[in-house]
Amino acid sequence: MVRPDTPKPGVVFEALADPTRREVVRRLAQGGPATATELAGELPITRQAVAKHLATLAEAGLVTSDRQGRETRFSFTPQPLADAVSWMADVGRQWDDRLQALSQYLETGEPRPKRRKPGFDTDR
Amino acid sequence: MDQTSAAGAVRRSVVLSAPVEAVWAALTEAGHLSAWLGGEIELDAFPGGQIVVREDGRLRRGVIVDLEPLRHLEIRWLPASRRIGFVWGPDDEPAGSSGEVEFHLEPATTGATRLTVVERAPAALPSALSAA
Repeated sequence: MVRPDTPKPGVVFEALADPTRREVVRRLAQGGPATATELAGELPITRQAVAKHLATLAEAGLVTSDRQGRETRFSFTPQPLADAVSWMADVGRQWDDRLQALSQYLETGEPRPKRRKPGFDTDR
Repeated sequence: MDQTSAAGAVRRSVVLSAPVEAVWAALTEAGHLSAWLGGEIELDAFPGGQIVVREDGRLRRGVIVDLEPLRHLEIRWLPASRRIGFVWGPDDEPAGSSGEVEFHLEPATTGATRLTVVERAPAALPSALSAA
């Protein structure tokens, strides 16, 4: 399977759609790095469940693990979340432009000028 | 303009001063579509049909996953690796990118149409995309 370098916004949002995973992220963001056992002690879920959620969060790039001896500590990495939020902002702006162009086209029947085209650029 | 957006999806809703038929044509006829969107567009306006957008040397390919005339159009953008057997330009990502755009139309006041657009975030995992 080909893995892209940066997680896509869809994966980040999906990972954060689960309330328990949001709780894990909140705990790591506010309380700093922790082991799965520590997290299980603080949250109302088993260590196995914590491990599963951490794996999903790691897949989305939202946590990284650091193994020291027999202990693996997990920390929150905010960048994918920032990227996902800016994806939302970019796409929103693009649709504002496109709908403006559509509205003008329907009113005037004129194709929009050559250079300033909003395009249909979906891949970021 | 209504700008509510759920996590992972961007939603816009506007009232256009044109009847549903005109808005539908602007979305589903290649000539109209490229007139307001830009680029060179090919579109087979039926479920399972393809949409191809060429612009500034880039190529994007999608599939019409749902089409209900005058009411609903849904496009799923194919990841770059499944577009065509070669990389078209430097901006084409080599792997695992997609995304979906949905258009809902409903008659508003006389001669006007409410158009709602929902764009869902692309997912990263090619395995999940090919399973979809």
